[in-house]
Amino acid sequence: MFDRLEKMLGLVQADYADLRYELARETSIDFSGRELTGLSASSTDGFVWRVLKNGGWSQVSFAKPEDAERAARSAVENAELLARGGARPVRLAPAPPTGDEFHPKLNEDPRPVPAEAKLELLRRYNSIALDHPKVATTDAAYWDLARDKYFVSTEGARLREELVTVRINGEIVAKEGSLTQRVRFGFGGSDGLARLRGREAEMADRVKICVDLLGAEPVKGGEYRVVLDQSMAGVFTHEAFGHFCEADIIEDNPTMREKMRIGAKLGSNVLSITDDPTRPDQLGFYRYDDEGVAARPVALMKDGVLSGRLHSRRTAAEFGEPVTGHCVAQDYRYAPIIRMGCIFIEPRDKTKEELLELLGDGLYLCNHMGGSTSGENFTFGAQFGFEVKNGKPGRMLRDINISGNLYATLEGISAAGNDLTLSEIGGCGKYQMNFRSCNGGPHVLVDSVVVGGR
Amino acid sequence: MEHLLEIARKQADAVTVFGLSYTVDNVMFSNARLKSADTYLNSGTALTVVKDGKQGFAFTRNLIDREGLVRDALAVLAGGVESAGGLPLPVKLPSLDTAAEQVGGNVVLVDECRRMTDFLSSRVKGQVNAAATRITDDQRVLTSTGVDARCLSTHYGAHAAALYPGTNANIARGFRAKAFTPFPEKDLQFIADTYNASEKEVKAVSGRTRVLFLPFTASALI
Repeated sequence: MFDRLEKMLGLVQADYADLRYELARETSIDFSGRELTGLSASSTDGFVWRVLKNGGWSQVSFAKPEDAERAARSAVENAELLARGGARPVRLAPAPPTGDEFHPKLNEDPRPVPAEAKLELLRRYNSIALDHPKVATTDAAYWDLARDKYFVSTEGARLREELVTVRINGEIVAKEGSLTQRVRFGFGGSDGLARLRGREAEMADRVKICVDLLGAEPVKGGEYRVVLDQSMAGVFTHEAFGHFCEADIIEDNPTMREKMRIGAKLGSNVLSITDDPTRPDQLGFYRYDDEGVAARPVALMKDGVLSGRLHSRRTAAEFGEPVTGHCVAQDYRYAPIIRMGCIFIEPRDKTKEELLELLGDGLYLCNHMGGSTSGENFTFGAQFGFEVKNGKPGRMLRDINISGNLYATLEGISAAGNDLTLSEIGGCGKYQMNFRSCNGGPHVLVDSVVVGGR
Repeated sequence: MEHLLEIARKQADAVTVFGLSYTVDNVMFSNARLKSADTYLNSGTALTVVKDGKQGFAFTRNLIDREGLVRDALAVLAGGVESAGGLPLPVKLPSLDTAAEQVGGNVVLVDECRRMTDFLSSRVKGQVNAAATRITDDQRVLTSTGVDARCLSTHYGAHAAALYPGTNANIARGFRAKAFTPFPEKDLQFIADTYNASEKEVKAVSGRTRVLFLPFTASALI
């Protein structure tokens, strides 16, 4: 394959070019309640050109090898158009070209496992929920994807990396009278199919939470001190803070660039945030990004001070900062863009119980459920929560949505726990999907959060 | 696609082959400056087989290994997904060609985005973004009952936005057509007028308040 790709590289006359080829194998299974609604196993592939000419930077994706020349011509024409059309000239930050081949160590490779066995695995988890008399229905899905990526460049890079992702996820719906409650479930990762086995007790816990929510009370709206669990802390970190650390999000926005200046004090002293795709055995693991740069951990915030940013080679040159290896594509259809790999709040020394004690009276909010950001303001849902009095969790609460301002919330995080947990299910939709986007954190205490409700 | 249909029908009771190929040209201006000009040449083939009342499905982008695609679709029959009804009987369908002529390359889109950003930049103080996309697609369905239907079409879309300083919050409008059409000036004027009218920012205080949802924001309420 490398020889074929390097031959294609010869089609381009430019200052720089790279070519990525990717072969993907995917299995997908879906249940709606007990009805099997979908099952497919497919294998597919594609190419992406990226070309730099006279400062113009262009990318073209194509499916058929016989389109390579046409696609190369389009890429060069687009680059020339950008160069003469007034686009800011692009430079690429230096990154040593690497020759390497990486295959992840998997605890059970999903590829040789027959679809029927995966179907039975999913059916078993689905039944745990559906066998409960108060569960009205479920949506349950199994998915695995093995990507075999090849990357060559005119600088001499020659890389191959395999990424294997597995996932079981869905939603449980419990019903009593006219009241319906929903709770999500999900297990997954990048270290093999074994991660999906033996999770029956966790599934049973999710069912219990969903059924218990039928007896929970709607939260009363207002401003609260809260403890966020790891899931809530992780999603806040990814959505509200992490995206502003992606250089391509802020590069053309002068006021945001000023606000997100390295050295700016944005958070409380207990808050440190890192993105580390190289952390082993987590969903977001990779060794090289999709422009051939070795991934590395990036300290984005240290003790409340902005200390780093996530880059592609292009934005690293634009900002005059080092490359980080965070330029990742959804798959063979897309040119890579800057993505978080595995972003998390660094743990501190407090136990969950100590945080609840510090909270005194307030809310303990658990498990994120959707949400959105608009500029520096965010809104997220929590699947459930508890009223906390004198540091003790009491009544279960439902229908919880929190909203706030990013910067005020970063300053308002007054304590962090010692129990870092990373998400097993990803799904960042910035321009493209990134199913391996991982986030997490320990429990955190936030001094003021607006909670919507009755 | 015909060859794939022939291979699959020998091993299944009913077969559907769906093929799609499309080209996308995309230009983006950020902060009133040309930012990107990209092209996508995409294709894909999906195969559905029915055997003994059960359904199998597989897809690929590159129809290199037809036997492999059939093997994938047959392999998932074991899952037991019930086939929903039979295939349509062959009727003589005219080829549906609603494609408009797509003249010029990305140069046309660059000129249009520049016109949009020039219009807005002369009227608002904030950051101005614009984007234009042009798609040509070709879809075809073949079935083992003799259906052979094809549809060629084109799409054009453009988007303009004025951003508030220090945020990604913006006033934006989108526009769609069959082929390249200048972005309506009234929509650009709406962006400028709304943006300028909102310059006297009122900081909302947290808490309960009555809210008026304008038509464009009603989706949030619904």
